[in-house]
Amino acid sequence: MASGIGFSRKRNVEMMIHRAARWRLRIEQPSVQRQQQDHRVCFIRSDSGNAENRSPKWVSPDLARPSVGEVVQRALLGVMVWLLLLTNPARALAQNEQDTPNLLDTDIEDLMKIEIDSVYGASKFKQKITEAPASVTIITAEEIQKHGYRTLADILRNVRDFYITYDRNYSYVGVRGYGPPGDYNSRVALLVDGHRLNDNIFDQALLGTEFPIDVDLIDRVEVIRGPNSSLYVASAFLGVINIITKRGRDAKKVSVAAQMASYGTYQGRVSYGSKFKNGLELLLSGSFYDSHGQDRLFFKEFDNPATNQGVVVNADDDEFHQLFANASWGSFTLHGVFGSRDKGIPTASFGTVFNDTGTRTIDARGYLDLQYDRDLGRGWHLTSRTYYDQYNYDGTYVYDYSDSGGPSRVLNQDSARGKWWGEEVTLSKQLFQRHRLSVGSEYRDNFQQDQENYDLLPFTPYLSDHRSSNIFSLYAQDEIRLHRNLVLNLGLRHDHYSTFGGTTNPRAALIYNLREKTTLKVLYGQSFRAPNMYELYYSAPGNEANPSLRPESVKTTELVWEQYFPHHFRMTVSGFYYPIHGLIGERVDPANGNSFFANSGILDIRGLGIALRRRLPWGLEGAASYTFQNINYMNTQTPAVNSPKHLGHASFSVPLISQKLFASMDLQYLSKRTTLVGNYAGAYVVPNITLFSRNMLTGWEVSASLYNVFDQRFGDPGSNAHVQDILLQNGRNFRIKVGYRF
Amino acid sequence: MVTNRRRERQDGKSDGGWHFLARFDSRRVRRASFLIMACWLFLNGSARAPSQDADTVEYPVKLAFLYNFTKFVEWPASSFRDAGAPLALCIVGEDPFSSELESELRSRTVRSRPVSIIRLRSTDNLSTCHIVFIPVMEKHQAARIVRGLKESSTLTVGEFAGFAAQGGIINFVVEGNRLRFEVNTFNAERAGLKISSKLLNLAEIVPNSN
Repeated sequence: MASGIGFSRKRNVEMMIHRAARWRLRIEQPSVQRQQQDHRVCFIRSDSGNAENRSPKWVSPDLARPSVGEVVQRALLGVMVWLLLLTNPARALAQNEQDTPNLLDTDIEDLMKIEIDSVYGASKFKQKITEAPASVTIITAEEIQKHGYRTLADILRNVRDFYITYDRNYSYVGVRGYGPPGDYNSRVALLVDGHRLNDNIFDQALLGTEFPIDVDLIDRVEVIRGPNSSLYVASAFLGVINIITKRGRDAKKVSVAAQMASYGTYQGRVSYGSKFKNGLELLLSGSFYDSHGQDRLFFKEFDNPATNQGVVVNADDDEFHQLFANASWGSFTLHGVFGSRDKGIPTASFGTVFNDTGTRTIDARGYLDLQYDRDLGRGWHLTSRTYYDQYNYDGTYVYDYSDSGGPSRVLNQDSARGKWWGEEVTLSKQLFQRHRLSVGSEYRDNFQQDQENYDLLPFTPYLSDHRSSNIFSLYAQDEIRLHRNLVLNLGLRHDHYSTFGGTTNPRAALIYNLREKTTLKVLYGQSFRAPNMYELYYSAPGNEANPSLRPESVKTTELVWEQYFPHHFRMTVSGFYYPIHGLIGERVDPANGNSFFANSGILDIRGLGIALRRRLPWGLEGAASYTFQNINYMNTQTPAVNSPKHLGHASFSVPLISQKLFASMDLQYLSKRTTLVGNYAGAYVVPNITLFSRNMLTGWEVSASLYNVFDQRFGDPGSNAHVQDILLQNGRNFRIKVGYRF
Repeated sequence: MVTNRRRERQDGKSDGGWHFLARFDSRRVRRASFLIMACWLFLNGSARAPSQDADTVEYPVKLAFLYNFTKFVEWPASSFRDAGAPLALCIVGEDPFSSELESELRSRTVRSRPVSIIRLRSTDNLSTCHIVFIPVMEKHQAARIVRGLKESSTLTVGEFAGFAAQGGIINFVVEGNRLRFEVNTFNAERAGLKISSKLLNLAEIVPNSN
């Protein structure tokens, strides 16, 4: 994806020199002018035109650093407010007595809608969250609606220990402080109904508008921290995100939804779902999205006459179209997914021409997945999955070669083609009451893993790499009930990659349940991530392949304490320690300036998190969490880039009219993050609010959201591909969504 | 080339201009906290708490399901001593339900019969119960309990994988974070229970395995 591509662009050494010269020009100028320009604060000139709000005082750099006292004060205030909100026990929120019917008077259909905590992903059995051998968070369709989450990235942004970075092309997830810019989410396994979504070239998890499924079709998202690769394939290195989609029975015949949002954004969806008398269950859905994006974006690094004074016009557009099908009949379930996204890149990344709308990427992802699920009797259960997947990435990058006497506008094409199919079989059995054993195997044939890079006119090829590979895996897991409330979970997984050989990884979890109210978990896991095709074989002038890369490995230890308190409070405390060896990172060969990937990082991540949640059956929900984490690189002095030490999340949702009108708010707090050149992207708190109504008029669902309510200015660190050290994010923006079920 | 760029920028010195990002306006923070406070006061000022007060939602909801089942299941008249005899809901082993909700349930009637809730051990005689709920803690005893109830008109309800397929009648399953239930219609008929089609429509129908 896109990505990756990146460093390599144009690898001809001469050109690099010219480009370096251009960069120097761009960079030096602003630094000279900085003093005079400090009053220019409108880095993003959004159409909402709130530039006048920004008084010079507000941006003055000397006032920039908040004092320790201020930070502490702010943090305390935040914590106090949330504790008040959460702990006020008996007289919680706006609810009349008549609005809170006794559960016994609730009819059975409504009982079936009440959510309790369970999890599927952690070990492929449906089980209660407290019994899962992992640290798990679940986000439901209900929360997605109430909080106005637009994309999978929006959902993950609000998960404890997670944060999102956006570079106006892709969204990247950081987990527990690990999120180096330019890492394509290859260390997180993204599954949709158990089907792996990471592609076979970059191993990228698509999270933003590039995620090929409309969030309206998500029934729930299960986020599992830490590796789970004893039951999942590689690259579940730092976490697993398992998305369960809706089924025919969840959709009522035909439903439509339309959205309108800031920056000229429109989205639409039509779905049809049904469960027929003969047992066939069907859900079909199609969505489109069209966003003009920010009209004008200002990047101070490009603020000189040659580059339109740093202003990019109309280059932030974003479009997608998606199709989704889910059919089940008897023991068979068929999923079909296709999504294609086309994004304009306004950041002039990879040294492309500034303010040229021709630089863009198209990511198309699709698959068919047939699952067979059956009880064989005598406690045996069989699940098998056969799938075919495809991924196309096409990037167009506009370059100017006039410095070296070439044409002034050349389109460089960067593309990847991935095709693969696979088969997975899992057999599980309840043995002697005490054991639940499951064994499985998976074979994946990556029969196409191609990467190309060439200039269009004049045609100049730089890379044409055609590969194929396969993976064979075996795994076993046993859940042993040692005692009525003590469960031991043991897992072992062996994977054999045709690219580098075999790797075996064990996992163990001890789970102690005390009277349903207290759960203690001790979790240990080893995991690995295989180098992907991009890291192994992407070579072009300026970029070297490194076919001798080894997998990177992590050994995770985590302690989790989950406690239920009276009044529906739940508290989770977890401490974690992740030593990572052989981390694959980009290096530059000092001899020739070429970049390549190497197993060089030795680091550990350690941290402590606490989360409080309150969820009442009649609809009030409140949650707050805080995580402290630290990444320590053993072999370099450099601080971890894009790694906040403190992460906080808070959210609440309250029914204003029972079951009909909800007000919700969520906010994210990130402490400052170091950028690539050693500056800081500042700390931020960004709240979002949503009003959501359902069935005020039968069949209608309406929601109105305001994101970044206080127009907080914040930026994410740029990657090696960017001249910009910090990429400013969107200010206050809105969305209105209307849905109707026929 | 990338390194070149980075070196350049480091030479550019004091990139202080970006530090303003590290700061949020204290007025904004104040505004935010006022808003939150206002919300809290507003929300706090009104209304009373709901009556259920269990620590987790799961078991209150399950008890409500059990109560609901009684509306859709018909027991043979012979299973009651007389017209006013109570409907006996038996819970095997440790009772996971809150006593508050249970006493609420005791005050209800089912088709003009009072409800009695009885806690029993798995070794007790359960055949006079109309509903037997077997919590997951007692799942090792489930097979024996179900065998012992073969001759009586008892609705057996479990909450663990395979219960309905192995002799039980209704089994709670967690699906998509919500509670659903399976019904084994064969076992229900054998017990002489009539289950209304409305309930069956909401259920996952499962056959006996082997």
